[in-house]
Amino acid sequence: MKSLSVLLVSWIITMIFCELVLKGSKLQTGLPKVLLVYCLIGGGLVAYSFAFGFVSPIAVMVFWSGCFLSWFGIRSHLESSILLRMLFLLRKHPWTERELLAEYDSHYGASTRLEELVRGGLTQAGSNPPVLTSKGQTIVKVVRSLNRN
Amino acid sequence: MIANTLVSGAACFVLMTLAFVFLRLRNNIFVSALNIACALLISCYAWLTFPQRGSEGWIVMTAGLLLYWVGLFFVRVMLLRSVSLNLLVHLSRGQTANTIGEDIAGRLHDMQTYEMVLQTGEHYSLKPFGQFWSFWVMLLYRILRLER
Repeated sequence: MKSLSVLLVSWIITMIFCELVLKGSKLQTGLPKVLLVYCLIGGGLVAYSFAFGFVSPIAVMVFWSGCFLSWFGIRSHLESSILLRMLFLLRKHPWTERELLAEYDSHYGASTRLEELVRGGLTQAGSNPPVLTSKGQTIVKVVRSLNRN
Repeated sequence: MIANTLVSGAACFVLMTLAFVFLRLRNNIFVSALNIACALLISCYAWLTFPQRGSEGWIVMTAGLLLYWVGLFFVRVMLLRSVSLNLLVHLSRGQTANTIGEDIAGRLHDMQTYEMVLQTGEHYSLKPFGQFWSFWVMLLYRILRLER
């Protein structure tokens, strides 16, 4: 249990570092930086396990992969989920569908999302209609292949 | 003995990754081929390594596989339902569809299905189950500075 405790504490520290690195920006914009944080701390843990027989490096790598993917999946979901945003808005008072759409559109609508795509390097800045960068095209290829029927 | 945990755990990890790539996530995101496959794989791993249960390596490996499953599930849902990713796919086809209205209507319908909201006339309000989850969402939004 000592190994698991050390790894869990490392994960909590990593999550805090990632929030400091993101500085309130979207995850897709700051993804390279958070990947670097996870790789550096994960690499340190694997090196420690090699050097001191802490626990098998393979187990550490599997655990750390799980940590990153869980954090990434849940963090992305919290940031972008329409359903969770609806839950948050409905907490204040009842809304009609039209009011919810107007509120959502004003803060997280298509124009905001297009700006985020530019900031994330997925579309070219200043292009109208928006043109995908090579990074954006790669993401689309991956999404299409994983969602194919 | 220890090799059994490492080999079985590593194999389980690889097979879960392949399940993520090749299995589809369709209408029911919870009872899906991916979740069933991951549950079966982790169960096989636990059965094969049962004699090593309680060892440090086994605990770390098992925790890692469970976290990996959670991550795969959330990433799969994101790939299927993300508004930004769907917008990117539309843009790649030269379309600029704004589906936010349909997405909101769809999510409101989902919340009614999950017994989270109640529709009274034109207004939607939270049911107790929805209020429970809304509290945790609010807390996480505050911690992660996502309120706006």
